[in-house]
Amino acid sequence: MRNDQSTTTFSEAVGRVFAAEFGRLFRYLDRASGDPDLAGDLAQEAFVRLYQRGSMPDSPGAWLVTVANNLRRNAGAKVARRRRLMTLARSDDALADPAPRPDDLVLAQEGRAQVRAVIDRMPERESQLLLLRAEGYGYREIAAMLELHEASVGTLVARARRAFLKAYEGGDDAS
Amino acid sequence: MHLDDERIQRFLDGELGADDRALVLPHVGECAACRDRLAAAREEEARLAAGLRLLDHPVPTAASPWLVRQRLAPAGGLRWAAAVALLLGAAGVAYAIPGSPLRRWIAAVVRRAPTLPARPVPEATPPPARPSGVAVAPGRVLVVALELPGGGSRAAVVLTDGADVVVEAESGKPAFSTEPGRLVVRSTEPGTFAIRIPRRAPRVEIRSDGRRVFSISGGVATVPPDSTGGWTVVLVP
Repeated sequence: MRNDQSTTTFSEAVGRVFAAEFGRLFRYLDRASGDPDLAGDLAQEAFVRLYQRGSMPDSPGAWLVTVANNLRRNAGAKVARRRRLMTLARSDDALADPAPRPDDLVLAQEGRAQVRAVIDRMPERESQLLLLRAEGYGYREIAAMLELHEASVGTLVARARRAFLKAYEGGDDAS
Repeated sequence: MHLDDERIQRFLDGELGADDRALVLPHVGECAACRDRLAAAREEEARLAAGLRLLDHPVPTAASPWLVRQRLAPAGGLRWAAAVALLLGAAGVAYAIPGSPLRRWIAAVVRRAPTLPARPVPEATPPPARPSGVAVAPGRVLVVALELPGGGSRAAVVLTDGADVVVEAESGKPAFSTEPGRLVVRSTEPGTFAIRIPRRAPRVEIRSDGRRVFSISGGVATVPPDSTGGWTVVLVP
């Protein structure tokens, strides 16, 4: 059992990891799932697991993504039942920019649907690779998370990017 | 020999090792074909990033370690509640059975019980305060001005990869207001704040009672970070 001081220190360390990692973990999960509420739940749950772990992993960012990915696979049964803490004090409305014009809104919605469709059609590992790299995770972390050879991550990123752009900009339905 | 995809991508992502960097940099300077491929890859990266941004929703600023701890806390309580509910349920069934000794026992206890004076009803325990916070775009310069009473207020400052400066009160109920280039936090009681600053923010200053207590430009602060990579700033001693 940890004493009070080490508990406090660990709690503070988790607080710092939270501040540094929550945003990109949420963004990755949001982009991967298309469901911001689910992404928020999964990201929170990953931090709950970190607290329960009681010690800091070598690479907290990679550890959190791996846990969240595993949780996401089981999300259908478990996460939907959980209380959604994210809705407690969502500040989107208070901080939102002025309302966009209807035309812009339609274009944005169309663009979002198009990107969503491409991401959903891509092989999961390719889309994860693009999304993780977009959040600034290093090649070593990505290789560990997705069980890839670190030496080939760059090639796989370039390949996945071209596949994405071909499907997105070329309207490729068959990918 | 030209650069392959792996090296071009690593070059773009800052993932080249020292040896490869020593090979790639001079080659890019000399080889127009590789420069063109590099430029094309960079341009593709920009289109990819623009496409992915369309998927984004705001990061929930209500999220905090406080909520994670809250989420952990009910587990034990719920187990107790379930146990008590089970016990009460079993007692109810036992009481309902005709001729149950439990009925006679309760009747006897009720008869023996002296009449007690009414006890004052304790005041309801207020629910724990929710953290409050605000997120603002840093712009070219952002001043976070805290107007707090004396008595040990401090802030844990960390750098993030996010886009917004986030200020979150871990206690108290501060009021937040914004104006161009300025975020004002007012509170009538001392408190602890978590302040998250994007690494890419050009300049962010934290002022307490008009006095500059911390500043950071492009991820470089005026004082070195502590061993955890963050800063603990005393706002009001």
